[in-house]
Amino acid sequence: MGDMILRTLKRQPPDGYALAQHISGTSNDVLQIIEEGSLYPVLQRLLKEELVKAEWSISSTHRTYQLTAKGAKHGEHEVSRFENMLEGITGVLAPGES
Amino acid sequence: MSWLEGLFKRRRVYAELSEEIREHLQEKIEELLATGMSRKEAAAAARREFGNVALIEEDSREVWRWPSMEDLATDVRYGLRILPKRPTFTLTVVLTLAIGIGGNTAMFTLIRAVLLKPLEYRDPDRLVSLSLKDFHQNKRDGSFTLKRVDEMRASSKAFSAIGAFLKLPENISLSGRREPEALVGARVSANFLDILNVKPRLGRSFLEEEDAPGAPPVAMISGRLWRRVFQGDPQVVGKTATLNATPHIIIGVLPDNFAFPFVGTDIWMARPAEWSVIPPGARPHVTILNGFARLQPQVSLQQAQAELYRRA
Repeated sequence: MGDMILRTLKRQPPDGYALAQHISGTSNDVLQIIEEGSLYPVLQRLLKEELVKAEWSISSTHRTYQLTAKGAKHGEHEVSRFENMLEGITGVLAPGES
Repeated sequence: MSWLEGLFKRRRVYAELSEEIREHLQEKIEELLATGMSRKEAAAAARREFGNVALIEEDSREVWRWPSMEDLATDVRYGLRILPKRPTFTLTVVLTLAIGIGGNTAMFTLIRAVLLKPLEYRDPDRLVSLSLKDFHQNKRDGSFTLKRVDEMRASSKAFSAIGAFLKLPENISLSGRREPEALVGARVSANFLDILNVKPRLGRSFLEEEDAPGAPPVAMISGRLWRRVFQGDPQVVGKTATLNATPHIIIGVLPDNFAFPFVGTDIWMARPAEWSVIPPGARPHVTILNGFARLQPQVSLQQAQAELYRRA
């Protein structure tokens, strides 16, 4: 879920609630089976690893999250790692090519 | 960053986390209210979709924790709170710590279990607590590994049974009934009641096979918890309680005022070394257990000690 959070944050700085709704929406509700609260331990891990930073907005009581430079880099690395893995799996599953 | 600064930072992180989760639930409730739900329904639905708040907060805090240090702090606080209430216990601990005999080899020593209130267990003079003494450093250490306890069980003839318990109380979350709450839990070897010679007021004690890794999750509960949460239900045995998000079958209820190994324990679980913070593979080898035992009827404390001397 950490990588999904990093990808979502690349586009906008939401609070935890908006993040949960967004992930649920963009994953075709697959992640609806996961409780919304399970987002928070992951967010804390990303904060601790300084992949995201959080700010309390002055106008409201919401805390919004933003990617750090390190987080953006990490996200790209994970996407490329995932794409490589997908390519590998597709290669193994593709019939008649080996 | 100093340890103290780290502690303050973590406290701020924890407070912000609680506030954030509260805000999340509030937002969800507002959204559900807009769909026409009543406030009560919306609050219940929001909590359901969010999951177990206490557990999620605990998991989130865990990320920042330095477990041993904070557990130690909790222990010290617990100790300071409890010692003045039990002057006999305090005196015994002080005396025990003061005893030191020189030597040049590590060996076992036994401390008569005067810490256990004499009248609550049958033949309390047969009960002993076990500790290791390192005479190189003149240091007593009450901690055992599971492997060491197993070895002692296999080789010792002086004791009718040897038991162990996780030396720290564990925070156990009870959910699924009313509001989730945090309880004091103890992990004990399956034979703990046999050694103490105590019978449960309802149900049964742990079976030997329930000490094996992978055994079905079962728990015993205190008389206090039985009355408070289960309304003294005489049919409570066999029912399920969700402890740390895992359903456990309740197999028995302990007598009132049963306070072993910690005052205020409400939940007992078997497999003493199965502490969540220790990776499963390392559990037999970490010194997280305290040992206790029942002497064979005809064996004196000195004989038992001599037997352990020989094996040291």
